[in-house]
Amino acid sequence: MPDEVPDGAPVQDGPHDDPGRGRLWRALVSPSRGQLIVAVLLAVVGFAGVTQVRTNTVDDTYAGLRQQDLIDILDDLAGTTQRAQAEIQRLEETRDDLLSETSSREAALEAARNEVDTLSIIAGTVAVTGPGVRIRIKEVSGQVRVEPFIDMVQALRSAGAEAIQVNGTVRVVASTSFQDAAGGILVGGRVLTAPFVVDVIGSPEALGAALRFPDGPADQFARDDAAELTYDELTSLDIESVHEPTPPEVAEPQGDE
Amino acid sequence: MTETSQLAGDRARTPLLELVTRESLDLDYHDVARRRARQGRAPISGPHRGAAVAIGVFGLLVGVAAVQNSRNADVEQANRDALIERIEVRKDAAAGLRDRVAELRSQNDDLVARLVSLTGTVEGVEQTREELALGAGFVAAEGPGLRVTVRDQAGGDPDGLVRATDLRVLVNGLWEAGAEAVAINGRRLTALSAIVNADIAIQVNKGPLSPPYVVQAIGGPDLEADFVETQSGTTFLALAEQFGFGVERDTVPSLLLPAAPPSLQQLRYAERPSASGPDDQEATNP
Amino acid sequence: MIAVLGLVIGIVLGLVLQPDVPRGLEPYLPIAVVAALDAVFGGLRAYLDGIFDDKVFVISFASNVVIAAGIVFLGDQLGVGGQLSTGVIVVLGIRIFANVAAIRRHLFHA
Repeated sequence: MPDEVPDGAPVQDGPHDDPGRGRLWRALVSPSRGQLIVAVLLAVVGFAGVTQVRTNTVDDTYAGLRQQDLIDILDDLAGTTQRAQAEIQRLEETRDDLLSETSSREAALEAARNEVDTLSIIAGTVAVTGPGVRIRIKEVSGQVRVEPFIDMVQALRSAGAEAIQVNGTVRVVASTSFQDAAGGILVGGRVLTAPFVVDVIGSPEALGAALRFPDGPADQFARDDAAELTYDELTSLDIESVHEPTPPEVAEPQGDE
Repeated sequence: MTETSQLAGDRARTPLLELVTRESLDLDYHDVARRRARQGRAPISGPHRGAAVAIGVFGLLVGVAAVQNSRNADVEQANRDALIERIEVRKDAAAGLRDRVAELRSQNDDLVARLVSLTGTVEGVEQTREELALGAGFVAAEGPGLRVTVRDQAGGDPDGLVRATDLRVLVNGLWEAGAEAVAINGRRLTALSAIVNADIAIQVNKGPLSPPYVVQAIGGPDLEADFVETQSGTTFLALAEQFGFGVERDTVPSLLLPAAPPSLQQLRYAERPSASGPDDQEATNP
Repeated sequence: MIAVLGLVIGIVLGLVLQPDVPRGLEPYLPIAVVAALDAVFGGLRAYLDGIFDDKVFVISFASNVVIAAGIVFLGDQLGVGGQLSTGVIVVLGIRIFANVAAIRRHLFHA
């Protein structure tokens, strides 16, 4: 060592002058008894270390843990459990809110659908069926005029008519107008001719009574022997004609809810 | 004296760990040995009775500690086992809770999706409802149109009283002219509405009216012009002149016609075909 | 060797008599044993160094045990029992290591 030290400089390994490396190299190439012993001991250390690492990672049996460690684990679990319970409670509240909201929306949907059904019938956009009367108006000695027609429709409505159809082709709704026309009556813009068949759905008794009412439709049509009105009370009749609604041009709905 | 003070100074300057390691053999041994050497006495040969007793006590301590330990061992093992069992129980419970959380989360996600889709459906149906209601007369309507005010003849002549038939002709003419909504004295006309004479009053929607009769009709700018040219329009105006009704016609930029009463929106006999039974035809009151 | 005899007698007595340690003293027993162990190894090293003295040994033994247990007891009262106990064990452990190393040098000339 002294012969490797330049005058006065501290002992340091130079870049190409490395006694440590030399010793290591010599140790690698020419093993001695001392090295064998070291090798055995290192083997033991390595074995023990690997075993411990494996045991640590695989250990399920809590064998290596002291009582304080176990208590710590227990506390941890208590914390986890508490948090999970709080989360469960929160989620259950949310779920209950969602369920009640869903249920009320479903009720709203049901109500809206029912209303749409009813409104469709009233607006005449769908076929209907039910009990009612079938009225026949036969011209006898003159032509049927429009005034008795209008009055008959009003009388039927007053008696609770829920759907009215003329000659199987025109569905009478709120906006249906009646006019005299050559050879017949213009109903809702279509010319219909006698004999007129008017199908009405409602209470057969009430409708019949309205028709027979003194100075009611039957009497009006029979005035001057112009026409004859007969009717049949039916337990079930179908009205197939529908009204094509024209989209409103100036009217706008004003929601009241 | 100086020796001890120098020693004390040294001690104060050395780091703690070095100090502890250096003095692992009690200084007293060194002191006593030095004193003995100064006094010229020979060092002691070995442990005598006193030391033996102390070592005996040490042995006793060790023995007692060993016995104590083995006694505690059972209890400690039982404690340990109990702890471990509690840990296992809590672990299972925690796993169960975790599963429940996941289950609830997925449930809630499904519910949210259903709710969103349901809301969309509801909106669609309500849109349809509103469109239908406008034409059917069951939602309030606003728009420009014609207002026709009809008064009984001023003179008190019974023939000069406006009757239901007269109003029917007027209304028929308005529909003919293309009115989109009509109301008399604030009562909206629907497919279920009738204009009838009851006792001495005119009734619309089963409620009596008192004159003057204000008939409002929403329609386009040509409504009035078209009305006077219709068959019924002409007829009505002739009737009015014949019986002396007071008739005023005003084109109004904005009319608000209320909806017909919900009680009118009930069907008792008509139902859609292929419905399940005679029971399900009631409408709901909005 | 009287000392070894004393040790054996002590251990046998402890195992045979199986005395009940009072509850309050139980936690301090291990500390006392380690402190005593430190004194014993110190004595052994002194003996091998040739500077052994009876009186010093007995006094160091007794004071080690009492002081170590006393420190831990004080710590328990103040609420820092665990930490003080750790400190005492650390110091005793270092001393035992150092003394055993010196003893080993004497025995094995290594």
